[in-house]
Amino acid sequence: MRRLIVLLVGLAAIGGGTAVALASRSHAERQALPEARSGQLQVIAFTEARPTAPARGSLSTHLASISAISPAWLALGPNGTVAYESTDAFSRSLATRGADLLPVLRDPARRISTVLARTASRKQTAHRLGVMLRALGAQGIVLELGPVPATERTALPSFVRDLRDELPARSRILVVVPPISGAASQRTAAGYDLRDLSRPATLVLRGWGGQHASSGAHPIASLGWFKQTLRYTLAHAPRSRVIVALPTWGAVWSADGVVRQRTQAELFKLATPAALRQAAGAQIAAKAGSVGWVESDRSLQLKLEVLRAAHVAGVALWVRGGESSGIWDEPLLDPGAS
Amino acid sequence: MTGNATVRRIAAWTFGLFAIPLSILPFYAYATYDGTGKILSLEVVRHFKGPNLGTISPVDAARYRSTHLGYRDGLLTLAFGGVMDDSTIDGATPEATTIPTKRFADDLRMLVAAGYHTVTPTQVAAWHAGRASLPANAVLLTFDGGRMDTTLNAAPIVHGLHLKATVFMIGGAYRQAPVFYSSPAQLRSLERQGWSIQAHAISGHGSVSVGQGHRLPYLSARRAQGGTLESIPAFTTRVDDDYRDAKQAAEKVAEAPVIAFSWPFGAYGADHRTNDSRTAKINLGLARTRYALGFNDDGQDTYALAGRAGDPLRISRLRVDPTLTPHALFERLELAIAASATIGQGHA
Repeated sequence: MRRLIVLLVGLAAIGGGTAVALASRSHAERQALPEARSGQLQVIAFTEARPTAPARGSLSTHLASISAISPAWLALGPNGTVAYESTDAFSRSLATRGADLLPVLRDPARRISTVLARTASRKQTAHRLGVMLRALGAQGIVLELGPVPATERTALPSFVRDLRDELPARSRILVVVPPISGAASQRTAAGYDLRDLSRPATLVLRGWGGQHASSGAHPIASLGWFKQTLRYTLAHAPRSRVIVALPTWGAVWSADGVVRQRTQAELFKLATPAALRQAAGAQIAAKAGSVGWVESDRSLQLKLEVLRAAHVAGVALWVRGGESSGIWDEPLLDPGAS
Repeated sequence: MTGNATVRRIAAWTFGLFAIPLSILPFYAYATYDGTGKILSLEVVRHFKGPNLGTISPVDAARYRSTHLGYRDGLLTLAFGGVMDDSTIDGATPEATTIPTKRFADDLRMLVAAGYHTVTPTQVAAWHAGRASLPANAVLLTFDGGRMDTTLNAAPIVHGLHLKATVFMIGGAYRQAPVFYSSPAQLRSLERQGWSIQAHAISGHGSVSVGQGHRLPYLSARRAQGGTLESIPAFTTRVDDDYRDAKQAAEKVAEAPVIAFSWPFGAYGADHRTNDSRTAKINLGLARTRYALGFNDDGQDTYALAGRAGDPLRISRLRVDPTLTPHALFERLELAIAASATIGQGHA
C-alpha cells in the first residue's frame, strides 16, 4: 500500500510538471506571433480571396509591418447581387492579431454602371454591402471597381457617401483611383472628382500602369511618372486621404504579347545584379531576361522615399509571396515607423 | 472468536454498501461514453423529460427582428447534422457535425425572433413550378438520415416552437442499426407533427472502391471492378436503382408524396469527389425523372438564396456548423441574403 501511494504521488508530480511545461511553451509560442502594426501610417496588404501558401507565409511573418489586410472577397454580380467568399480562415486569423479586415469589392463583369445609374440601385447596393460587411466582421471596404464608364463617374462619390451612411462611423472606405500623370491620362480619367471622393473615403492611388504597345498595362512605372502621378493626386486630395499602392511583382511578355505576372523572387533570378542595382533616369525597374521587367529593391526604395517625403496616409502592397525581403526592411514599412 | 465474526460481518456489510454504487459505474460509463449507450439512455430520459427549448433574451430578439434583412421570393435551406449533447460517432465523418441540443434550440429561437418562416418541400416545389409563392423569409429546415436524435431531440424542439422541418430518410437504416435510426413508426409520428419525409438513399449512403485503395461516395463515382472501372451504362443502372429504391422506401413510410432527394454527403459528381466528370450530369438527369427537388451541399463558402429561376434539382443547403453561436448563424444568413436578394423585389 505504501509503495502504491508513493507511485501515485510520483506519477501525479510528473504529470503536473509536464502540464506546466506545455503551458509555458504554448504561452511562449503565442507570444512569438507578431501583432499587426498600429499608428497613423496605414500599410494595407492586398491579397487573393484565398491567399496561397507563400502569401500566407509572407503575411504572417511580416504582420508587424501591416495594419490592414484586404482579401478579394467581394464582386459585383448580376441584378445588383454581390458574390462573396466568406471562410478564408487565414485572413480572419490575422484580424485576431490586430489587423483590420477591409475586403475588396471588384467588378470583373463591368456592372458598376448599372449600380450607379439610378439612386435606388445605388442605395440598395450600399445597404447590401453594409449588411455584408457587418456579417463578415470587417472594419471597412476597398472599392476596386476598375475603369468606371465616363457617363457614371459623377455618381461615384454619391455611391461612396451612401455606403458611408450604411457603415459605422469608424469604418474605413478606400477607393482605388486611376493614376493621372499628364494631359492624356487626364482626358482618359475625366469625370473622376478626386476631391469629392476623398471626403467620404481614402483614395488608393494605383502607383503603376505603364502601357505597353501590344500588351496593355503592366506593373512597371518610371520614377518620373510616379512623381507626376502623386503630384497630381495631392493637388486634388488631402495627403491624409491618399494611400499609394506599389507593385511588389513583375511581368513577363510572351511571344504573342500576353503579359503575365510573376513574383519578384521568380524574376530576380533572371535579372542581372547590375540591372537590379540600376536606378537611374527613366529605367527604374530591372530587366529580367529578355522579356520581363521587375521592380527592384532600389526602385521600390526610391518610391517609398518619395512617399515618405510627401507624408501620405499610407502604402498598399500586393502580397502574393515571393516579395523581395528588402521591401519589408524599408523605413516606411518598418514596424517602428509611424 | 465472537469478536472476529462480528468484525467480518461489519466488513462484509461495509464492502457491500460500497459495492452497490460501484456496480453502477459500468452502466454509467456505457451511457456516457459509448455511442450506443448514449442513444439508449437518451431514449429513457425522453420518456420522462423533453429537451430544453432554448432561450433568447428580449434584447437579442429585438435586435434580430430590427436588423434582419428580409426577403421575398427566395429560399434559405439549412442542413442540420445530429442534435445531441455528445457525438455518437467516433472520428471525423460528414455526419459528425453534431450540434448540442440547447444550441440547436437557441438557433431555432433566433430564426423565430428574426421573422423566418419554415416551409415544406411541397411548398418549395409549387413555388419552383410557378403555382404558388413562398412566404417572406422562407427557410427549409432539413435533417439527413432519419437519425434517432432527430426524433428524440430535434423534433420536440421544432414542435415546441411551432415550426416545420424535413427529414431525408435512409431506406433500410433502421433494420441495420435500430439504435441509431428512427423506426418507421417514429418517422410517421414526425409526419403527424407536420414534418415532411423525403428520400436520402438506400445503398447510396456509402462508398465504392475506385481502385488503388481509394474510396469515393457511392453515387458520385464509377466503381472499380476487376481492375477496371464500371462502364457508364453500368454506373447509370446502379445509381438509378438507388434513386428508385430510396423513393420506394420513403413512400412506404410517408403518407404524403415523396418529391425530394438529398444527396448523401452532398456528393453527386460536381466536385472533386468523383473519378468521372460525367457522373454529375448523369445523376442530375436520373434524379430529375423521379424527384421534383434535389438538395446538395455545394458552395458552402459562397452560400446564397435559392431563386425561383434556379435549378430545383440543385438547391444548395447551408450546413449549420455546430461551432456557430445563434448570433454568428444569424450574421451568416444575413450575409447570404444581403449578397443574393435581387434588387427591386423589396425587403420584407
